[in-house]
Amino acid sequence: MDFTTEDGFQHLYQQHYARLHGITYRILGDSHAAEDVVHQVFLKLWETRRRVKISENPGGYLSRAVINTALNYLKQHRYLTLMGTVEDQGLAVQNNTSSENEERMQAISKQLHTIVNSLPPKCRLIFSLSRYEGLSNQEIADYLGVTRKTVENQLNKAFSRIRNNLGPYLTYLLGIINLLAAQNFF
Amino acid sequence: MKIDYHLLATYLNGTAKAAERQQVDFWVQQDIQNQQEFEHFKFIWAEVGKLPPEQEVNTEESWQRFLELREAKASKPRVVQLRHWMVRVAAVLLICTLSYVIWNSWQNRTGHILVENVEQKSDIILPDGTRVWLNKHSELSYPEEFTSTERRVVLSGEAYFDVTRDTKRPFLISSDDTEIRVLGTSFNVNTTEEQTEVIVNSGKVAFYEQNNPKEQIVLQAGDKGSYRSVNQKLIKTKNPDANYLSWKTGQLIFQNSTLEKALEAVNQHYAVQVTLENPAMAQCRINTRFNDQPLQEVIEEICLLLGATFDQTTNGYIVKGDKCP
Repeated sequence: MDFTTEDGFQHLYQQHYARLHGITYRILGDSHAAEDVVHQVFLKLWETRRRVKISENPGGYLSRAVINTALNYLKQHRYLTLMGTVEDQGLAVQNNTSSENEERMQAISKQLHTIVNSLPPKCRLIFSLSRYEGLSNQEIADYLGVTRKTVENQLNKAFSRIRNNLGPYLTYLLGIINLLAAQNFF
Repeated sequence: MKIDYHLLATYLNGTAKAAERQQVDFWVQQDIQNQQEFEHFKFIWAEVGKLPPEQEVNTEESWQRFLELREAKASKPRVVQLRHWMVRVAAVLLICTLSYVIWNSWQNRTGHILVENVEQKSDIILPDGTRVWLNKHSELSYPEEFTSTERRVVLSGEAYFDVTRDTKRPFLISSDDTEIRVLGTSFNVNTTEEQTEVIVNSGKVAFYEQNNPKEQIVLQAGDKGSYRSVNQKLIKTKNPDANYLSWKTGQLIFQNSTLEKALEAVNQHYAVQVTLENPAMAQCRINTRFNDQPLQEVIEEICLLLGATFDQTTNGYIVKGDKCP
């Protein structure tokens, strides 16, 4: 569909908005800011729609554009706590489970989210880009204007932290995994 | 064997290269511990992936907000265009100004004449008719054409100026730190590294520091203005030196002058060292005049007048005598 027309543009917007908002939200941790960023990208696209050639892979172009814009936004608005609001919402995942194992799983999940949220902002951003946006270490480095080595170090740090902090729960975790494996086996 | 955790991230998000994947696979298969650790990470990765839950978005509502935003931006084109228009005018003005400044400085650069005297003196007529006698070891730089507002020259060394009167275009002489401003007059300027001296022959001269033009001294015929770069002070005195123009006229005139003062003038005029063997003779008075004569003739005549004798030294003469006649 030709996005340079009004209808085509609306279609493009509706097709990608939720996904792009998700990406931006994970970087900024603020729903309103995320919408601002996504709208900035669409506005720019609308203004330059006759010149840009993105018909090959509009989704990829838009993802890159919102990540870039969000990262710039983050630089300009340092008061934004990266992914700051994630924790609370993370707890509301599921409430209707009752089995003991699943309660334990939930406890671990809760702990995990707390740990991820307490990572230093840069570390958390890199981890988040790797985990949620599926970017390679080189791509993350390019986006952030740092070296690949820095990205690798930050990822190492993120995993070490998570692993060390999850220590008390790892026994449960092992038990559950083994149990699940056993259940599958039998 | 330990594994770099960042490899696990690329492995799990699918961006690992084949070699990296092999590295991770190899590590996992090495022993049961590694396998367990890998399972932990897979679990962590998956659990973290549940976070944050997709925000509830209402695409239709945000589309409406987007339309409003687009509308608001589109209704402002006039301002944007005005700004563009102003930016363009500003740019054109800037280019014009820059070209003018560059052209002007280029013009000034190429349109300058520099007279550098080493062992000779010169007599220069400037574009406005002003006459300049430039001493040895001195430099004067001036434009081929003076501007319509001022006549500016730069002097290093000594020169005598006879400035053509032009009340609309002041004549300005800059040296290292000072500047002299005149309308039409004649005066001598001598600049060295330590000081600048102005001795006025006729008319009025304003003499000041370049960076402090308000604190000027006004010199009239017979006045001497000095500026010492050590203490940056301007001093006005009566000119005691009758021979300040000897370098230009070739004349040395001594009227009831002490021998000390006379030899000082001789030394300066001929750039030599004539000294007294007997300091008591310094206060002897002499009356005479010399008209562009060779140094030896001058010394001979002085000695004759004083009943003294002289010997040649490496850089001048030594005058020998007992007392004043």
